[in-house]
Amino acid sequence: MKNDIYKTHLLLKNKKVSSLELVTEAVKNAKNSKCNTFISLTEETALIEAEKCDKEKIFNNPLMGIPYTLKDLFITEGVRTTAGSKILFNYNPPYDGYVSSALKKAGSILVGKVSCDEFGMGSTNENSAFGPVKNPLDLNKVPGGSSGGSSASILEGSSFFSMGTDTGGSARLPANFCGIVGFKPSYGRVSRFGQIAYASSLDQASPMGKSVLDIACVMEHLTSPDPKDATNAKLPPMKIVHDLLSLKSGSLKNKKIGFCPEFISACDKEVAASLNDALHLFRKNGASVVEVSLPSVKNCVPAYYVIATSEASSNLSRYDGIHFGFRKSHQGNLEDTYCESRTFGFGEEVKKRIMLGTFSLSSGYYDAYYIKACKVRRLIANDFNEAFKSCDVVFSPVCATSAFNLGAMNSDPMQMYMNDLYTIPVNLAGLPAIALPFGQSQGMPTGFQLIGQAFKDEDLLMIAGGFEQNFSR
Amino acid sequence: MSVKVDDKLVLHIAKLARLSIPQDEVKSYGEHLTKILTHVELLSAVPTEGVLSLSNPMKDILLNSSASKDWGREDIVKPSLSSELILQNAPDQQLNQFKVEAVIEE
Repeated sequence: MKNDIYKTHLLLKNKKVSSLELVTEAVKNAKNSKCNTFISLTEETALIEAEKCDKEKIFNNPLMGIPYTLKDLFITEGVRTTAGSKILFNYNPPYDGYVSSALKKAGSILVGKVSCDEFGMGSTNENSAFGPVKNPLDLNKVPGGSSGGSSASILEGSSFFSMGTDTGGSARLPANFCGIVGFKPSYGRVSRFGQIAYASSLDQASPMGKSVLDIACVMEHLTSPDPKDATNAKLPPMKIVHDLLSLKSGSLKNKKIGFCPEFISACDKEVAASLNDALHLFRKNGASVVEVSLPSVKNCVPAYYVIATSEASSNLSRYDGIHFGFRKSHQGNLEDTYCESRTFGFGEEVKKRIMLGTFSLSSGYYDAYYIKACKVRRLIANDFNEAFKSCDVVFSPVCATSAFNLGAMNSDPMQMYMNDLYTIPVNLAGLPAIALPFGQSQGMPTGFQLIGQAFKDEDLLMIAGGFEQNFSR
Repeated sequence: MSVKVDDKLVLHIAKLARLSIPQDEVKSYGEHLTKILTHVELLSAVPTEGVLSLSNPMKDILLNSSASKDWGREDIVKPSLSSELILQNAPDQQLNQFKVEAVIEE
């Protein structure tokens, strides 16, 4: 599991290793997890698929025969899908969502479904009904959330890549806290069909892996147009692996990297030092680093929490104790069945967010909260449009600190939400962004993110690849 | 825009959200929501006169990109999952239908 996906693909092709060997090791590592990473293991089917793959010997794409994991928000036919929630503890989907079926088609092999904050609501992976996930690099620390199980599964060697989701930073933050790469594509680039909804105008399936090239290998299989998601961009599938493989040195020359100095100075000392080192490396390799201004971004946290919770309150109304999921048996009336099932089935953070969203959408408050937040969202998107007039990508912190201790953020909800300050603007504006590991703070990994223009995901990955090439970890 | 979420408002929101908040937790829900809404009040100071609200980035993005502007699909009937498959996750069922508590009082 030490190699990247592409190198492993070549080993498989040249019969230096078999898919069965890779999957057997992945399953073993999954079973030995010290981090509470998995909710469900798919050992039996994984081993059968691997054997089949070796027998047919058609390693015609880099994902064929490669073990991976899925955040438990992705619907998988016949494999329990919980969203990290008690309300779906026994939900066995009768169909595959887009991501699951696309990766199946590519021939990659599902090792299991990994834990996450319930419905993706959290930044630490402590809000899972199946218990908190720990950071494999230090078991006293959080892996970041909500896709914490995805990061952990990669570090523990139970997957080459994992599919997370990113609504306000949920793939980029755990990537940052665990020292791996997390990519949030443009809103609409990957179909959301079969991705359990938190906030539909912000949610995006997001691959996580050990390198930019790994991310590219996955993205090529996730970008077919899908009529089952009305917000899916009808663009041709991404072609980027070949370009990354033939990337020449000097590719960063004349690229313009925008940054806000105040974002960097607001970070912890060691994080800020790493960010400045990274900018220096861009300059050294011929890129020009220019200051940009994003004045409305400071309002992104309140705008996000109003918009995301409003959408969540609507999306989560489908959990009624009637159609699927948990029902609290009740001798009363239908109304009581709804209330009791939801009250018992949802965790604390989910209930708090449903309450906030219901408030924001309720009569008398709708204009002052929801509509106001949507106007501020427009201002944030306008800021980025303006910034991209003078740069190709925007460079930004992912988080002001490295991974914090388990339980450290439980007392103050606003302090917890403020951790998402640098990741949220990207989701509000629908842009692509990639978190790259670089440097350390407090003995834990840190890094930065590059934010690209909408639907210029390929350009963003090429710049990220160019940086990675000049800095081998 | 300043809102203090008192017990009455907590119970009203809970009713709308189909949640039952236990009596001994009503106060803490109110405090939590008040805390968040106090922070949200920062938004009221942002000038937004004449600004169009943005509820989903997709339409705007598409207008400025090379992607197809046609985000609808044709209204054609296609096969869907069988009722047996759908009902396999139902908490209770009878006669190939979802079974619920009585909705009509005797």
